[in-house]
Amino acid sequence: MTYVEALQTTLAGEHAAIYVYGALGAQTSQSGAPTLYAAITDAYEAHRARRDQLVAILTDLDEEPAAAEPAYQLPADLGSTTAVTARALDLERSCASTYAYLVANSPAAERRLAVNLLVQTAVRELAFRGTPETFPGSDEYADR
Amino acid sequence: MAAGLAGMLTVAGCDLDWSAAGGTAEPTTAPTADADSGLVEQVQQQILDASTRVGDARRASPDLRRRLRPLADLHEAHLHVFEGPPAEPATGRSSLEKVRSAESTLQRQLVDAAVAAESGALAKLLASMAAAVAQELAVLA
Repeated sequence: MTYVEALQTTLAGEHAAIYVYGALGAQTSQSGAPTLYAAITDAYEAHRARRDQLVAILTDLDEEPAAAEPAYQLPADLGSTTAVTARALDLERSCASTYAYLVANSPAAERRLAVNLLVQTAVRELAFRGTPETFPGSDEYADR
Repeated sequence: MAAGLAGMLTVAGCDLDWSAAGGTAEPTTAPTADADSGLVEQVQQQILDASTRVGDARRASPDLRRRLRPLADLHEAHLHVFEGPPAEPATGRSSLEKVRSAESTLQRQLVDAAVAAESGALAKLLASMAAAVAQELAVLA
């Protein structure tokens, strides 16, 4: 796995996250669930910024950034704020694993971005009723 | 100490089981067995220092004893990965603010250590530890 491949994988994950967050936002009432709506909006904007950042990095490396798929499979049950919150938490945890993967496959000189993304996403999990973990993004260490 | 150092080398070097890491991590460089041993020892001491602050605060206040339990458990789990000694009992008093300050410092140190690591796997582990500390800090805020 090269650094560029890891970047492309992470970018693909951002494309998916943006799509899913768009759907989660559409299922959330701004007036009925303002805190959740704000958290989803913040997450959506954060992932858009990360996508743009990754596209810029890949472009600077003379690589063609991975394009978004036309559509992504959405979770089936989005009919309640509880379900939307749970899906958002799942999404952030998945992103944390992806960023940890990027950390592992980044050269030291380029690694700080990935580390910061992992830290930011781990904290964002808490907005979706996540509880602190011992090894965010690295579950393989959890049972040691 | 010897057992602790052996643990450090296992984490830092080539003995890490990549398949156990979910198949996602491959080293970006080919680390030697002791390429990161100094870094690991430094991080272990930094976690111990933060753990001491937490211990001080927990002994000083019944409320903090309960509230800071997750942080104490987190430090113990992180030290366990390095197979190092458990946090040493500490004396004296501290405040929650001192704990926050110590944990903020530890988080930055873990980020810097993740960036400095030769091994991609160790970098991932240290970054994950930094993220865990950041979560606990957010809960304490």
